Amino acid sequence: MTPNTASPGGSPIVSLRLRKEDGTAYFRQPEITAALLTLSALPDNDLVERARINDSEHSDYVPSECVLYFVRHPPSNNTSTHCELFEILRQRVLAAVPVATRKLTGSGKPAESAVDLDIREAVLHKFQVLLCKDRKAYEDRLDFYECRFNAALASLRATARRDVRREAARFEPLELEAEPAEPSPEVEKALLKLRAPAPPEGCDFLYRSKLLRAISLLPVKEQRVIELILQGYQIDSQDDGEPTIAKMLDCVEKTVRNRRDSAYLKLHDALKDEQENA
Amino acid sequence: MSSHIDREAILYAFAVEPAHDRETLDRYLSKYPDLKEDLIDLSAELRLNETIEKQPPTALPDPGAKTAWEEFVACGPGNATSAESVDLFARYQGMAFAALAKALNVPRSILTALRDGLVLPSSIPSGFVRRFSEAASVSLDSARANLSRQCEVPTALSFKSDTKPAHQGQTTFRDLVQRTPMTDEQRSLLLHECDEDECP
Repeated sequence: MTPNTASPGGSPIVSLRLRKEDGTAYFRQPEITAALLTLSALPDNDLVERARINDSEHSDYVPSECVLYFVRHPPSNNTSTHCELFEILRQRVLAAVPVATRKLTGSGKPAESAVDLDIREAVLHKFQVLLCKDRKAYEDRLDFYECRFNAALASLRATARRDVRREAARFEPLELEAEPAEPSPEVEKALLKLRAPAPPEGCDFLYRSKLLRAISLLPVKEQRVIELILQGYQIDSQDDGEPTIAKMLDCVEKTVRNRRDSAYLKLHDALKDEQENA
Repeated sequence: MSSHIDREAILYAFAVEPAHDRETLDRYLSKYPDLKEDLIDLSAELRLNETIEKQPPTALPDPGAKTAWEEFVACGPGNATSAESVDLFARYQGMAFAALAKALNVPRSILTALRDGLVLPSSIPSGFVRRFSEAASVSLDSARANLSRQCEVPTALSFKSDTKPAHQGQTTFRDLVQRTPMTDEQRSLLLHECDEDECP
């Protein structure tokens, strides 16, 4: 392993080995490298104590990229420290795969979503496999996680969600595409706000979260239409060279509009409580 | 078509891009048109990070942490013996179990029989053991140890049975393959592995 930087305590920070398609190297974000330099100089107990802080707004918070680094490159020979950091890393993975609570039909009692639990289990398992492979021989896919931990984990989550959906679809009855319905102006307005990179003034964080969560619960075909609308693609265009949602999803314009309208109705229902409370 | 490994690397590369705007998505979609659905789904998934990163932090129950740590340690250098003692099937539950069966191209019932120790260890072909070790990312010794299980009677049965419960004995791998419903392709692959090893 090639050390690239030395911490104040003298221990080197190990470089990432992963290369992009063009041959250039992947690098950690500058703030992660800076944090690693500081954290490497800490005694084991202090490092673990700081890594236990869950609040990402806290000044002593240790980013997940750094926790992963110390699991791959233990700060000392102390097995107990290594084990604690390993468990903290698992907690970070678990936190990044939330499980929704829904009311059970009939009893009305709250219960964790079985689909979300399956996704969490699959993600945790795949991450564990990567860690084990890395322990045996350098696993460069873990370098993606040291670049941007939550983003790389989103990739695992998306794959797990796809697999769980495929499995669930085997037991679902075949249904016709949703009937066309009038799009809800409230939902269109809320989606416009979502296109902004950061929550704009007046768009409550909880409301945004609820909308994003509702989008993630849409049937996958409708979710793709909504995602492409949010990315600013047109449903259809006179210009043959313009990428449109219809072309990207290999369907006709009418189908895209039906999916969009059906999604809007579902989002409208999901947001109704929020709007009534506002 | 992008291979499975390429697909994973491409999706990771897209995920760790500094921005996930239309320009980035367009770039990846034009470069990897066969992954368009995966890329659109990932783009939507990345949008969800906004809510996850700001969730109130709470400690979550992690009953598998101890086993996972033992498995992680066992993967380290000079731990071949302890690697054999790790219960691999403990980490393959639910979807993971289904994924392992898919990776091995066998029906889940074959894996269930192996997990429950219903197959004579000496009758399991080495080709299958090798594929199992690759799919589970463990050493050959660890794979062999996990497939060589003793048949156990679940304790719960003792409370429900009128007579003393006993297992039906172990069967050979070949016999299991012949009796289990599966596609011709799956059966031919497994029987070929048995023939290669001259398994009973």
